[in-house]
Formats: sequence, C-alpha cells, structure tokens
Amino acid sequence: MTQYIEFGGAVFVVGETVDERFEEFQELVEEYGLSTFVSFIMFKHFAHSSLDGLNNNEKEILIDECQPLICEALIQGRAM
Amino acid sequence: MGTTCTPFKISDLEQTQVNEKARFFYNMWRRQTKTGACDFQEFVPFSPDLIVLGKPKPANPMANLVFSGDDTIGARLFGQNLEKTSAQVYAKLEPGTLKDYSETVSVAQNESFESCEPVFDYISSEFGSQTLAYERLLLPFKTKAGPVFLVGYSMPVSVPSF
Repeated sequence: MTQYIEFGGAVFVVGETVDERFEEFQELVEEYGLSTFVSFIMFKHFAHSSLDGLNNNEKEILIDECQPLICEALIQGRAM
Repeated sequence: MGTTCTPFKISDLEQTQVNEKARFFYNMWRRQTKTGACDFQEFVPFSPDLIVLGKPKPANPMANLVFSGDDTIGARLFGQNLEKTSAQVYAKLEPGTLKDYSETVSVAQNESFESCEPVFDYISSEFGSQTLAYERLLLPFKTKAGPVFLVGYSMPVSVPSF
C-alpha cells in the first residue's frame, strides 16, 4: 500500500530518504496507470523519459512536477 | 461576442486542409484505443505540443491542467510551467472574459471526458481588442485504474499578445 499524505491540494509521498519517496511515487504511478503522463513530464524537464539513472535532485523535481497529475488521479479515483 | 465554440466532425480530420499533425495524433490515438491499450508511450516524443487535462472545472479554466508542453499556445501566451502559474495568468485577464472562455471551452471537454470520445472543434474568443482563435483536438485517455485524462492539441489561427 502506497504511503502518501494529502494536504492543501497536494500529495506528499512518505519516506525518509529520496529513494524511499521515489519508490512510493513509482508505486502510485503504477497503481493509477500514469506512466505515459509521467513520461511527458520527464521529457519536458530532462529531455528523456527513462526513470533509470535519475539522481536525487531529478527524482525530487519529478515528484514535485507530477503533483497536479497525481492529485487529479487520486481525486478521480476516490469519486469512482 | 465573447467566446464561441464551433464543433467539427471527427471525420473532418481526414480532409487534406486539416493540420497534418492533428490527423497523425488522432490516428495514433485510434490505433492504440482499438487494441484496448492503456499505454500511450508513442505520444511522448510529441508531448511539447500537447496539454493534459483532468476533469473539467468550468469555473476555473486552468485548474484541470496537469501538464502543458513547452510549444503549446498556452506556453506561448503565458510562459512555460503554465500548470503551476495559473494565479499569475488570471491576474492578466479580465475576469468576465475568463469566465466566459472557461465555461465555453469546458462544455466539449466535459463531453469528451464523460463519453471518452474525441472532440475536434474551433474556438474563438475575444480578450479585449485581441482575438484568440484555434482549432482544438481533444483525445480522451482512460488509464488502467479508471481516471480519465484529456490530451489536447491546439492549432493556432490567431494568438494575441498579453
């Protein structure tokens, strides 16, 4: 079960380290089938769409940039 | 005059005078959707031209914007990272115009969102003395967990400068 907190219209994945948070983030992406749109966001910010080899800073940026997408998926998911 | 939305038939995309990229996106979407695929990775290289919308929110035109490519009309008008700067964008526009625009463009968004059918139409809106006009293609993507997102591609006809 993915660990996250919703607060003030944003979603925060829970984890002590960047890698833990990134793992939770990836689980959410997988659970909601958002990989295509995450790839859009990666392509915009990193000019590629591979999750392999991201450094900690890039992982943090990606988690942050995907906030609107994840929030929308959670809201729609709850309404089903 | 406010904002008007003129619907086209999806079959109009087959006509030669229609933007080639729009036809390409529609055919790619149709091919993927026919197979029941939920993975639209083929669109990724074209994402700079695309926006992604969640459930329409007529009272707020950009509240459902979850992604905006760097080469879209929105990015040209209001800068990149539009999905994060909507508050500054509102400040530049006259509230009545914005409401009218938002409500009008949301109607077809809502139809596409509910029916999961694509939409192809023409939007024209007056912002002060300037006109924003574009053809719009909306392609609904249903993710494997159920949430629906609309991928939008707009072909500018007239773009104002704010």
